[in-house]
Amino acid sequence: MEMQSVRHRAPAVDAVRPVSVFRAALLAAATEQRKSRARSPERVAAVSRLCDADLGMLVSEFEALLAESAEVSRLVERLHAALARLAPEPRAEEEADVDAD
Amino acid sequence: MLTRISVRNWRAFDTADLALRPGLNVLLGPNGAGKTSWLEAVAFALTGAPVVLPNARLFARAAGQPVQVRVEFQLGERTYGVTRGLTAQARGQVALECGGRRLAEGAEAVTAAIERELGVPPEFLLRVLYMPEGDVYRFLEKPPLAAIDAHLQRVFGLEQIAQIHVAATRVRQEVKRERDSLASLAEQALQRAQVLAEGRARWGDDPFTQQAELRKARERLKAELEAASARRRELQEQAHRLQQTAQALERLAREEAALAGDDPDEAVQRARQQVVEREQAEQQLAQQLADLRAAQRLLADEGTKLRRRAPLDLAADDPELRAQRDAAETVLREIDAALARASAELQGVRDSSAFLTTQPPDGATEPVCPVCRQALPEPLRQRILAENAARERQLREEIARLRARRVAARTGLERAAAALHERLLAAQDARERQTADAIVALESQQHAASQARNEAERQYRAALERRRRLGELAAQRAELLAASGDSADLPARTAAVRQALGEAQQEEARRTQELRQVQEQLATLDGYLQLLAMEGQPPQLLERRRLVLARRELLAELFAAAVQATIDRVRAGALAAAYDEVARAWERFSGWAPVRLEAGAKGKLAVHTAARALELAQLSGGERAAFLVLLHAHLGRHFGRGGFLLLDEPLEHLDADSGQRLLELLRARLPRRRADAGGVGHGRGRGGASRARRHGRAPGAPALAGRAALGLTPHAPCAREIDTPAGWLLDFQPEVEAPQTGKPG
Repeated sequence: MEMQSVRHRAPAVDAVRPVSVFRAALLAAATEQRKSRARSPERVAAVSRLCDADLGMLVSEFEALLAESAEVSRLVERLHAALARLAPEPRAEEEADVDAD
Repeated sequence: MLTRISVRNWRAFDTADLALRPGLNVLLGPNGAGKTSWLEAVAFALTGAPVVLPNARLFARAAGQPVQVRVEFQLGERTYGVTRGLTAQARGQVALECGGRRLAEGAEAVTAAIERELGVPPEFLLRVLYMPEGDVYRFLEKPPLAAIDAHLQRVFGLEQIAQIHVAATRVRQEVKRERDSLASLAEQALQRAQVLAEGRARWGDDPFTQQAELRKARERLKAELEAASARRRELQEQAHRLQQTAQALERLAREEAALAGDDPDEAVQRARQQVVEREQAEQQLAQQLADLRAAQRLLADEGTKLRRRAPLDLAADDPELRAQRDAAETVLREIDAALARASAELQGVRDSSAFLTTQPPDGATEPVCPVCRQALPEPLRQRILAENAARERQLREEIARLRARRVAARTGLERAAAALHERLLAAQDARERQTADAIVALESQQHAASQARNEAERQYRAALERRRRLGELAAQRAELLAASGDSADLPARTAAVRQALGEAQQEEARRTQELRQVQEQLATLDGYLQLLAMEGQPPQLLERRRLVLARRELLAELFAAAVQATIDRVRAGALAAAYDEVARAWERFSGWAPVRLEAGAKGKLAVHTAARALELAQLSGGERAAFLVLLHAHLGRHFGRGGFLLLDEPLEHLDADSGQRLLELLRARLPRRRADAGGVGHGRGRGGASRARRHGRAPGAPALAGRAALGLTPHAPCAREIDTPAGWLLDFQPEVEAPQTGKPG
């Protein structure tokens, strides 16, 4: 909270917004991944499934982490949860449905 | 903005109070007036740290008295007051107030609260918002990169972003580990069908019964192995003990053989007797040596006496010399008598001649005979005088001969005595040398005798030690034999135990091998049973999970890379924006255009123009000073809340025109009605001295001289009192616009 007040009062913050910078950097990193040659079939599949919605969720997550506690274990937990939302665990019944289809 | 500074017992002041006006405040005053003290008071009040002085204790004007500083400032519509003290009594008065309410108490809490309110940490305030005198040189040597960077971390939340990066990196690594582990599982699954087929062929339809039997066999084999191991350890212990006994007996035998020889008691007796004999011989030699040394001392005394004696005294002891002396004395007496006679006769002849020559008779004109008193005829007188002269010559020659004889006799006697003395001394020396040689020889004999005695004692001790060690060895042998039984069958018993040990080891190895085989079978069977239990799960699930983890890993990688890029770009972008503002200000001040600033290695700045790049060190002293003022001003405004800027002697290196332009630039960047900047200086420049004299002040002393040189018009009358700090405050407006002088880039 204290850091927030300091940050928002700084005149230069408006000139350089970390979230904007992060969004641009993430886009550049994704573009680079799409251009590079993947090493494994799983990696090829993951890159091909990457979409703007994924990047948007990562930006939202970054913004949320900026306001989160600075404790690394807490940040790790949140990031794992975000990744689980973006790439959920497969379930046996889904497989059964897929097999049935 | 700063509104008021109050100090008590602070450097140059007992008690003083300074109310600041909105906008640019300039303090002009003579050396030692206390201008810097005001700036230090502000810095100390806001950070709690000394800036110029090495120790806060030195702030006190009167040692031991309480020091107190109070600074009031406004942020937006809120008014703050911070009070700090130095002594124990004043420490409790460290406080930050706002609108009559205490926000913090205590030094550290107040510093933290001010940092929170101003939005800048103390390091940034002291290195950027406060430019002390001489900062031109400090900035070149050590740019405040660390202070700026630390502040950037806070201003842009880079600390939090760095933590996010740590977390993202950790998540990416964890996902990768999970995916690698899944890949290993997938490989295992491919082999699973083959393993199951082999298991069915091997274990049949009832693998669980076989598992139970294998477990029973494993327990039985463990018990048998334990028994075999115990038997082997017991035999190993026996063999070890027998081996130790045999080795000990062998060692005893070797040592006894080495000590073998004549009877130890007799050897001790002989050695003891030899020691006694050697001691006696040594004592005899010692006695002889003592006697000889006594004789040497007597000889030395005699020699000393002999050397001190006169040679002629030796006649008392030497008959020959005594006879020579007596004969010489007889001759000398005869010579002395003859000399006396000759001398008397010579005197008579001389008297006669003198009478005949110089003593005529009373009243007579001719000399008379001294005997008969009759007149001597002249021829007779002449003849007598001639005879007297001849006789006198004879007598003189006779006396000379007698004297020569006397000297010769005396010298002969002395030579004889000296020769005798020399002979006696030579004989004495020979005796002393002989005695000394005898002593040396005897000492050598004594040393040899001492060595012989030592050797005899060593042999005696060796004989004693041999007798003692032989006794010990006998006792040890008896002890060993008592413990191990008869030594005759020791090799046979050792061989039997070793054979039994070999058999026990083989038995243990067999049991170990059997147990290992059973355990391997059991492990294989357990694996088979586990795979059997997993049979029926869809293999597609595993494949789906691999895809999910690959996607998560990709997203985590992108996230971590973007966070790192954010940290780098935010820091670089923020500095670039601030440097761009400084560059624009420098263009207005210097007339150079266009200008670009770049930070090189270790934060050292360079000014780039279209034609060239100049490091700060390459600028002139005045240009450097002006550049740093602008840099401090814009960094402070860009990265802090811009409430104020403290400049100590900012115009020190500037000429009048440059100083005026710089002040106008500072005024221009101030928001209206804000006290953003404060500066102190002596007020130098053309016309300063004459203006000062007109006001009845010494040249170089107060403020109006500088103001006039800068072309500034005071709002207050020139004649107002400027002896008080309030009087030093100069409120001014520029008379003219800053000239846009150009300088080739």
